[in-house]
Amino acid sequence: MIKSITRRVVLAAAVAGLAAPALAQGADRGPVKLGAVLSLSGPAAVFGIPERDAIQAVLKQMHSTTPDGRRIDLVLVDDKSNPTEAARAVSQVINNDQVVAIIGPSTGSGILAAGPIAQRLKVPLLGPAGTLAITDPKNEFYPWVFRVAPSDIVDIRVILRDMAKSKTKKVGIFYQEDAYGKTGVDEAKIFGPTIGLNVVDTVSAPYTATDLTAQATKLRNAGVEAVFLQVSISALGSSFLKAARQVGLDVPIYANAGLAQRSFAENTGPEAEGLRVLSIGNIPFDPVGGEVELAKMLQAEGKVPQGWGELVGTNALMAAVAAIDAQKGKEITGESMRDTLETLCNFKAYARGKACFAKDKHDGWGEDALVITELRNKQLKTLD
Amino acid sequence: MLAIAEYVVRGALSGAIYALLAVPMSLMFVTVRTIDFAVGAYALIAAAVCWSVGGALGLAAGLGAAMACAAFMAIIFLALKRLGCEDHIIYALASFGLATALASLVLWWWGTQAFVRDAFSDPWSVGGIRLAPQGVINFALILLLVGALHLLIQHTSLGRMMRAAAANQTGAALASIPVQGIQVGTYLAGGLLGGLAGLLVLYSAGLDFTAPLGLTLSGFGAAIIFGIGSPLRGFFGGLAMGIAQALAAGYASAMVAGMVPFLFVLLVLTTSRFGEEALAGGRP
Amino acid sequence: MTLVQTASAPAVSARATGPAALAAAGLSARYGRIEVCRDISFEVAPGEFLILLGANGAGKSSLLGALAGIVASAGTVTVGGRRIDGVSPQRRAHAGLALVPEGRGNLFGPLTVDENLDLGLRHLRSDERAGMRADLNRLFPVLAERGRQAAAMLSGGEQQMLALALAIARRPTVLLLDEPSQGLAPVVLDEIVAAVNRLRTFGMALIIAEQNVRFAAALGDRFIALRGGEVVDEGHPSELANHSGTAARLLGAAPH
Repeated sequence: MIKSITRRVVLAAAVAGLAAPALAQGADRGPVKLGAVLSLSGPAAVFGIPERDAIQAVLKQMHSTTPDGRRIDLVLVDDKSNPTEAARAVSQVINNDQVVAIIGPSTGSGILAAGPIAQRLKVPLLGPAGTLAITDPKNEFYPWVFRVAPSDIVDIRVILRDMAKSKTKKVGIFYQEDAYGKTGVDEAKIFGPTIGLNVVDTVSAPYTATDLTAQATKLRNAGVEAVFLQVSISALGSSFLKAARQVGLDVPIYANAGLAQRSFAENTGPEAEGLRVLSIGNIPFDPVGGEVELAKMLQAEGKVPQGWGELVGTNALMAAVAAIDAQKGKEITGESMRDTLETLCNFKAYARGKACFAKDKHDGWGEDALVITELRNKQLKTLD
Repeated sequence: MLAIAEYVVRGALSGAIYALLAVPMSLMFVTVRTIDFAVGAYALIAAAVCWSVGGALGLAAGLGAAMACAAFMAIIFLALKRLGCEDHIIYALASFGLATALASLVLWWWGTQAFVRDAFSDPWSVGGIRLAPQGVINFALILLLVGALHLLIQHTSLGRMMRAAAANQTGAALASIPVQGIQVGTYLAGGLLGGLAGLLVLYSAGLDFTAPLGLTLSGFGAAIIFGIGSPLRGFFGGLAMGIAQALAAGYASAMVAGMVPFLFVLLVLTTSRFGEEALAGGRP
Repeated sequence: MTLVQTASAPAVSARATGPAALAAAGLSARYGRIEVCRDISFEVAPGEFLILLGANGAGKSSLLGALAGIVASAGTVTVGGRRIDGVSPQRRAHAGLALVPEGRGNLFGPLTVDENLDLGLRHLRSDERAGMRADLNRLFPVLAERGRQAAAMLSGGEQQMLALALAIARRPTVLLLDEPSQGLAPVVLDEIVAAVNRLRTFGMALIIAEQNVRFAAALGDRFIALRGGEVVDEGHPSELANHSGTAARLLGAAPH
């Protein structure tokens, strides 16, 4: 089976060189199927639903056809924010629907659970998550997972660089007690000193903590000049901001991209005023370039942009579209998609910055996709 | 020295919420010999509904919603009894199921957003420690409430009946004490007190759909730490938990701070005579 | 197998006119699907003391439980002419029935003696409570001394006194006593006998389940013997004292 496909691909490539125009028609053998395994319910739905909405809006705009004329069928499945469901859904869309690439799963843990299945069934995953581990070269399934968002480490570096612009030397970190929180602390402790920032104290809390005044007091007593919140749970973020205000911790506070959500900006009180939040682009409040285009498509569908879920979702879609068109005239399989993704660079997408994949670089987007915003009057304004 | 005092004060203020949650836990344990795991979920529902409605009406609506959920739990309890289920573990599991369902409902309807409201903006400075007025109000309110409940339970006819029903259900039935009514009432009280805790958290630190389990466990820890039989002990248990948490956050390394309160509970349970009593069911 | 049919068992029936204090007809009791008492019918007149005699497992406690509503039952039960079968133990208590279960099971151990008694007294009109409390203190002087002690801290005999006091505090029409002699020393038994006999001044009917024949004979006006959940004999307690062999057969075990 594999051999016969390879032979056909080689044959097609050989013939293509001779009679490309003739084959272009012949290659149009019906639609290419793409899977989308997204968190449409559960806690991660706050990202999964904007991902879905943006993917559907862009596909509609494209009339479900790539610029090169290949039709795309999208198979959408909810992973319920649950890694087990995500793995099951990935195997379902490959086995039942014969998709050649999958957008998702939405969460890092979902991608890690589905990775081995993608590897076994030879279909690449386009993961919209920052979790460092999903593109760790040590993973056996490394060849099959591509990241379509900046990684958590890139996020932290951008935040620390912005802190270093003012004369900050002593940084305090508040983090949530999980792998995400721990990654942030570890990276900040390594990267901070290289740009003259020292992490002088760290405090943490479990997701369900209700009172963070003791944590804020500790950072205040440590004399930190800036605080970095490595949290993705908005309740923890707003609770810490309240606590900081209460105990008199009056220093610049930065938050990671988890809080770059319309719902967070609009629902927090005055304590969040002036908070600096990292974001992937800024469609909800300050769109530029491709983001304006995407925002218009969303508005045409009656959707209100929520954050950066729209951008990472369409990053995945546009990477798949670019890979499909790059294989003009060839038979498209999961393997050919994977091979082609590794050659993509500088293709059309709606997020800012330049996206490139390579054999040893499965993180497509980097620092130039990110912006620092400031919360002012319930809006996240992009800072220069 | 001032630093320690500050952590203790902050811990006591936040521990008052655990104390409030501990009260329905201990009431439930002595009257029905079970745990209502949904108490934290009543808090969430009250906060979410209050947040949406807003204003004084929001407070009433939040409490009402929490009471309605507790009433639903009481109906489940009565239905289980009617079906001949006398297994107290089953009641506890049913409440766990309800708690999960309520959290899912909040997630589905409101999403992952945090519920936070503010009544006061400027902190008070007390002896060099800046405190949120809301925290002080919470503490005073809860102290008053727990004191009133203690008087109710120890010195009124209703309280006597509750303690009697807790000590000996058959005897209570023979003395024509409405045992089932008291049990249903205890579930409703759980809704009221849990809902109130939710409103106080809403106006202090805020919470989201993940809060119920943490609130329930903190309340349960506070309830058992000095013996589950009395709300007064639950109150001090809550303060102890809060202070342990604050000191851990202040002095332990972040890696272990999260574990300290639970280690503290474990330590008290394994070493003190209160612990033995607590495990044996306790006596007022 | 023929059981005892004492021909000389003159049914000492209701002496007073008017309705019986308690009447049971076709009463059966069961635990789940296991029937422990079958088709039992009897009456107790106001003020009459009736002994339910039987060995362990004869169905005495189940019968009392069925009357009080804490054991599932079928058949009719009336108190003072009012039907009470099929209602909750609480309603039966309101109708005038009081049960002191085996092992003083009506006591609230963690509550003080005073609190226990207050729970019994709360059914009286408020102007009657002080008088009743005084009566109880006269009947059981020890309870007046121990008012602030937890019930669980009393001795076995004192607990039995408290259990009796708690049950009669509400002036029941019928008092059901389940093995008051159980677990008590002989000296204490005499005190209990005296205390129970003093209850006659209250005018209530009394049904006592016992297997201690001597104790029973000292208390009752009439006895009913149960075996295997059925009535096998009835008569006057003097028969028990005169023919100790009868008691042995009734109880299916060696006499006391």
